[in-house]
Amino acid sequence: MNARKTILLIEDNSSDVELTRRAMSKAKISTELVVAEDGPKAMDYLRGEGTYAGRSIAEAPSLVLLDLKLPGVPGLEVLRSIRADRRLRRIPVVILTSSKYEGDVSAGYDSGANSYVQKPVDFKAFQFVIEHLALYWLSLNEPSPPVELDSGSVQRP
Amino acid sequence: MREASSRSEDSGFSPPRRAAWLDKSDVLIFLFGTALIVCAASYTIHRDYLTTLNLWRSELSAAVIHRSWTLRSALRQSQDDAGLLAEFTPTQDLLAPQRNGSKPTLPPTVIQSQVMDLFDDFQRVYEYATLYLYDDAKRVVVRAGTSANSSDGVTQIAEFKQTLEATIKNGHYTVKLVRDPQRGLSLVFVMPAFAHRGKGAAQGASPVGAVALVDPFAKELLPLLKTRTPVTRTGELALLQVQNGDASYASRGYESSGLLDPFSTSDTLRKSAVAAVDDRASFGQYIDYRGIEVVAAMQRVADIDSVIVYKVDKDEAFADYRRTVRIEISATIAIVLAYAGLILVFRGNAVAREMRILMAQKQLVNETLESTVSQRTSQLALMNQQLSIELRERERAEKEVRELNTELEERVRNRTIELEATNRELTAFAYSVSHDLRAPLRGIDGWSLALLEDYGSKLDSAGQQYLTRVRSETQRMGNLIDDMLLLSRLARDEMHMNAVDLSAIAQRITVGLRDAHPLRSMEFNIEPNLVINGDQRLIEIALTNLLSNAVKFTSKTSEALIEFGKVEREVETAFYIRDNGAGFDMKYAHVLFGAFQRLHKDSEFPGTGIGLAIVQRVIARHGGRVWAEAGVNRGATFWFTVGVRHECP
Repeated sequence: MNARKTILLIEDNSSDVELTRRAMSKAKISTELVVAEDGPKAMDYLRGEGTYAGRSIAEAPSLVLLDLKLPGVPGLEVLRSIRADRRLRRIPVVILTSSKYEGDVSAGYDSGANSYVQKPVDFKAFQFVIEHLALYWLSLNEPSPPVELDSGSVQRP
Repeated sequence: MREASSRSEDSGFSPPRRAAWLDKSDVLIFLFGTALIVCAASYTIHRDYLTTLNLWRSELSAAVIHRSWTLRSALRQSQDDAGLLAEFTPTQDLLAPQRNGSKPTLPPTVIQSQVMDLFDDFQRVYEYATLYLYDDAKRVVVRAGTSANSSDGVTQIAEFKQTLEATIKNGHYTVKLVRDPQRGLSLVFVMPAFAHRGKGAAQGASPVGAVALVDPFAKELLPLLKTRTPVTRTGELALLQVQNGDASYASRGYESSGLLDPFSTSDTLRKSAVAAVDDRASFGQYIDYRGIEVVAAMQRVADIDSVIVYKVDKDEAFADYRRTVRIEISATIAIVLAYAGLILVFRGNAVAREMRILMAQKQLVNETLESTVSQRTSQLALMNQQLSIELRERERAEKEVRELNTELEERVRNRTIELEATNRELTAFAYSVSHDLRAPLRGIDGWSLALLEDYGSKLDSAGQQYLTRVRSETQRMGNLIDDMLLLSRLARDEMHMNAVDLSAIAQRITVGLRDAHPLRSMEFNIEPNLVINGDQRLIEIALTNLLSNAVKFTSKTSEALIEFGKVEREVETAFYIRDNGAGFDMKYAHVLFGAFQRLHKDSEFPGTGIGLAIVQRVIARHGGRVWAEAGVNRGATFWFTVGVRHECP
């Protein structure tokens, strides 16, 4: 396993992306932040396909931050795709979204989310959230061992 | 009768009841007629009885009178015999030798022999048992008969001796029926003998002796009694001897023993015989020695103090009569029945007549009824027609109503679908707002902060202040969005009704409020055990808003007092939350619960203006209502009720 850890942020709002990077830097988190603007790009990255062809699937991100409101494929669909893929299903996925709507929360957990966090409007509060998420998932949480793969078999959802 | 009944069957007319058939007068007529018939029958029967009795009276009386005469003539015969013997010259010579003043011409032995011959002749010819000649000293001078050589038993009887003595003394002829222990009953004839012929006791002469003839009853009288007995089955002739006030049968059982049996004490015949011996004749119904009822005629035989009785058993005597009576009674019953039948037939005819009258009346009534019915029927037909028209009208109206209803339902359904769609859209909108509006706000806040942090040194204090203001407005905008989202959700979310402890919830909220305002002096007065049936989560939102409001509007009050309690009213329980804060002008009370309505400047009392709208929505969803009472700077009281609609889930 590569020692260099990454966080995959699935988010279409560039402002939010920049604010997330700023919050991470303010919190002095050096982990690489990979951003995917929509679901298909995120899945390409995770599976090493498309623009990310050649990337090893074994280099799974330590954490996926998922916005529910995405253009095209909704966030929950992306989550289900990750959980349906044998190779990806153990990756921790935290839903980070503006909505605190109960239906979304329930559906998020039902679809296999590891956590559900609302993005606060207050940036200081937001920074607090990012800092703590990184601390927990990258340091405290014990990651899953890599998935034993059959010879080149690729499962598609 | 038959005509009436058949007609009644045809017309279905029920015949009159039997009670109406025979009324009281019919019964009276019947009873009266029956009484007459019975009287006539009784009279006839009685007459028959008397006739029968008279028949027997004449028959039996004739018989006894005849016997009586026969008997008396027989007795007279013996008296004549005795007289002849007494007046026989040798007899007088023998008893009174000096009767003519000189001695008789013949010697006494010859005279005695002559008397003896005569006595023997009489005994032989007339068959007397014994013949005696006594002198005046009652010594036997001559004796003739079967027991000539020995003394006759009869002469030893006291009765005989008395009779003999009385005859010699007073010179009267006596005949007596005596009981002879050897021979049974015997007749004894005692004739006085005088010295001269024609000079008897009537001439004052004294008897010089007496002639006594003894004749057995069976030989002398019984054959007489038994001759010419009337042809009857039970007829019996009897001779009763009356002695010392009693009568005894002289004839019965005589042949065997000559002694009379003890008789039945109920024998009325004997008593009657005692009476009859002094009378000439008697006839009547008696009970004889057997204890059997008899019809008997009696005739005395004065010479020997006896009564001849001729009796016939009543059974035989009245056999014909009884047969007649039976026939007559049968006839009477038949007549009564025929009479009853006649009455019934007559009455039946009367009933038939009555029935005909009734039928005629009924016919009349029927015709009247029919015309009434036909009138009524035509009226009813008219009414029916009207009714059916009305019915059709109504059916048409109902059909219209149904169609309208169906249409309405369709519209309601469509509208509901539309509303649901709208609701969904609203939800989506609210969701969108929540998400889409918050994202730029976060950006504004984030970049404002970035500006402050990164370039704050290049701004003066006013510039920094402005950025801070940008950030606080952003925060307020975020709160607004949250509240709006909550409000939209309150109208939509499903309710979960349970027992909710308002007091406990309020207590918990006040703890949070004290923590949020550590510097404030606030007193909360919460009534315990305020429990309602409601949705815990919604109630908590409403109470949070109301209590937060109270805290907020007492922020300028030095000693804040906030009370939560209830007042029991007639039909409902009203809860209140009262504060002693800023209050408000009641003329704005009507807009108090509208969304985004604010009565105070935000600088004085900050807020989104949605809190009371949320409270109202929650209370409305519980079927209750909410209202406020307040005055400017006089505090405010917010009232709410929880309707019965949600008391029971």
